[in-house]
Amino acid sequence: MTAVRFTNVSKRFELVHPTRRSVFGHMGSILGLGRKQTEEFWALRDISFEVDRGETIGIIGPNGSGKTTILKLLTGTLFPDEGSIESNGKVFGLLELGAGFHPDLSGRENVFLNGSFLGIGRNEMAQLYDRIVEFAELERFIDTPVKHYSSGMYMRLGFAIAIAVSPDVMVIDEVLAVGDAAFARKCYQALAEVKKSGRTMLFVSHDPIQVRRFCDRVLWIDEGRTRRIGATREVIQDYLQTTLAPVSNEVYPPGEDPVRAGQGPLTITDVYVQDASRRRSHSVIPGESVKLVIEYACKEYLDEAAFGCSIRRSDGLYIHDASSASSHGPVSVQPDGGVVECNLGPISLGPGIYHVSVGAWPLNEKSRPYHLLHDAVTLYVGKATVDQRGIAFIPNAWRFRSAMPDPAESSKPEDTLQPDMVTPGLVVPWSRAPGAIIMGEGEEEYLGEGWHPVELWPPSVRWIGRSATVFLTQDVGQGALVMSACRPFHSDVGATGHVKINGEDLATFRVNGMDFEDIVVPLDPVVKPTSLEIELRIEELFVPAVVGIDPDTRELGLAIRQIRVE
Amino acid sequence: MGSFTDLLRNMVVRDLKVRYRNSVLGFGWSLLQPLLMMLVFTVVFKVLTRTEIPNYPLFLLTGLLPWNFTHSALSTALRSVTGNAGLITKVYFPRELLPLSAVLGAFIHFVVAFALLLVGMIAFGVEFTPTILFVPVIMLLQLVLVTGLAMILAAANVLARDLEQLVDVGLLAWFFLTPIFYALAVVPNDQFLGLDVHRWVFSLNPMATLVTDFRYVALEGFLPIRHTAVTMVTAFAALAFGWWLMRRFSRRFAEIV
Repeated sequence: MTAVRFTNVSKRFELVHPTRRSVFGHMGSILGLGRKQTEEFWALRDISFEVDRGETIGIIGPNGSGKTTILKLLTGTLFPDEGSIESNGKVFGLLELGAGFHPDLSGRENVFLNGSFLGIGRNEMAQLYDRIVEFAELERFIDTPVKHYSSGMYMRLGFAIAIAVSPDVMVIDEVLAVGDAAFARKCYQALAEVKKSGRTMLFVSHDPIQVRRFCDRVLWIDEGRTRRIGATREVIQDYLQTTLAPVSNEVYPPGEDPVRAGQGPLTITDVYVQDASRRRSHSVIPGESVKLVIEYACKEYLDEAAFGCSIRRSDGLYIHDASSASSHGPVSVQPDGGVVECNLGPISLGPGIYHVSVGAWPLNEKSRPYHLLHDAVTLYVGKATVDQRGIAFIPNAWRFRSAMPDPAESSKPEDTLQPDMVTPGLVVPWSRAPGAIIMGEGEEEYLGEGWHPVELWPPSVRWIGRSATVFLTQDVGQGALVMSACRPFHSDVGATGHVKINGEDLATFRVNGMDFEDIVVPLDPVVKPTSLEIELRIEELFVPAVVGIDPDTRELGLAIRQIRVE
Repeated sequence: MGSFTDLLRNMVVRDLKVRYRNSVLGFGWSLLQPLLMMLVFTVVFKVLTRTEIPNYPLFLLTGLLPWNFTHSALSTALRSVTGNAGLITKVYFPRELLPLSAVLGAFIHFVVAFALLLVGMIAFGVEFTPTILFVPVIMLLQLVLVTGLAMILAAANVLARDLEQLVDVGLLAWFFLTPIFYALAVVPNDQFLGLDVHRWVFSLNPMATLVTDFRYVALEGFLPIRHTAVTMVTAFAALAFGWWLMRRFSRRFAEIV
């Protein structure tokens, strides 16, 4: 059953030009008299879509593309100029949390006032009241005028009302960045429940990760027109490729633009980033080793060529510039083309989006390049640990000793950095490893984001890039490793992973949906307690690891609730 | 509309609460304020112009109470839509409720303040006549008129904000053109464009009729029929036009505000 239907909807705004503004002209144009004093602006043009009951649809697009206009049309604050909008059931928009609150009234009074804006009577609201206050965590402040609330409290109350009134069609506009992380999580859970209860949601966001979490389908609008509508994964992928790396994969024909394109005879045909296992990759985690690969074709033999690459962050900050000239001098190029690899080593960039430009030029004439490709590759650098921040990733290793100087120790040469210690992690005391790691419901840890079993100390888990290592003690007579895992949030894509125990690749597993399932890996029975080093690794990670304001990589991995030996 | 009566009530209550929050006397001001105004006018006109009108404070009160209603309702309603831009662009509800709640809030004050007149009549020993039962009818008629005007002003102010500047002056002029602190009889009744001035004031100014009617039925035991019928037509015409204007343009409010 259709919950919302937009049929050829267009919305026009009139832009009044300051020079033409006059009282009578203005009134005249509004009353439809006289000549038009204004310029038309079509905020939406010919938008058609349907949302089925119980479906969640995401609306994405750049600023000013008309996303909010769609929601306003649906909630009735705006009316379409052309086309028609049908909706079944009560529509309620979270266009702005706490819209309609009066600053001088208390939280309690505002709850009822807000309810009546939604057409909910006093008695009905009284029944929801306790739930609202409890959800908003405002028991102590509910009789304080809301003008004294912090912005977080204000939004919490607004969100709590919206969740409690549970409309048939819920419209959400960029509101989930509210409050602290704990409350944001609560909001997501509440929305997930709303979704589960079969209500229809329209969800507007700049943040593709948020959209991916919730939406069954996505409508992408651009300059008021439908750009694409379809399955979340495809539309988001397409959207990201178009908006974040506008010139990627576009090969400029040589000779057309001397600065951007170069003048031949060498043409760069492909550029990509390779991860440690020699696969093409767009998303890496700090500390992972990557290679930049440039493939080229050439019409003639060149004996003094040079290749180079530069990295910019998405905000334009120049990060790095490298050229083969400084280390290799002139490079000769065969007429049949070839491949250049630039090893960038372990990525020392902080989380963010980076654009890599590449080029080739005659050694002594950089100003007359053979070929340049600006922003040829977009690289998403994710978080190595959940709390990683900052612009760079600096390898670090820790040592602990007592305050008393040890004469034998001090005479030793300083420790050199061992390769293994470069990875972020912790040294694990083997003898104290537990028999099982069990997290409660709602306390899952995320492989792919970072692993923090805070309850367990000393920690028996460590995190390395996209794999996690768990240390467990296996008792006599037990013969299987059981792991309870699922894909976090609303990922519609499964994940494949590997289990390695004490260095031996034992099993491949596949996790499909959001429901926790037990993955069982049989172990050879052993006779005495043994420590197991269990390494879990997931294969595919292509989704931009960092997008939007709040980089979040949880989506990429697995949610794990239990690992135990039976 | 039916499901929004609750909202209307809440909006009226909201405005009343907000108005008297943090004030010591609270709702008592709805009595005290006209009382103080009455004192000021009494002093000014009794002392300075030595007016001959009997029971002048009561005479004033019968003019001031309806006028206060009109004045406060219209000046609140004028900004009721433009002042709630945040609400209008974010939440859907019938826009008519905004001027309507402004008018009802002022009407409540009017009704409460009417008690002041009753107390005054007892204090001055004025005889109660059966026509006082028609006071509610006159009040409701004024409510119709003011609601219509409130809607017209609220809608027009969205389209051209210049109105905010004009309305203050307009209300002042209207105040003087209405026989509130003077009796119509003191105005020289000259001929103007073939009609006498008194007739002009009555036919063009519904507030003049309403104030005079209020005096007639409350103080003088006289039931005016003919000119009240004219006012009734004006009042319902204003309501119809105001309603139509709101219906016609409220869809665009969120874009213009």
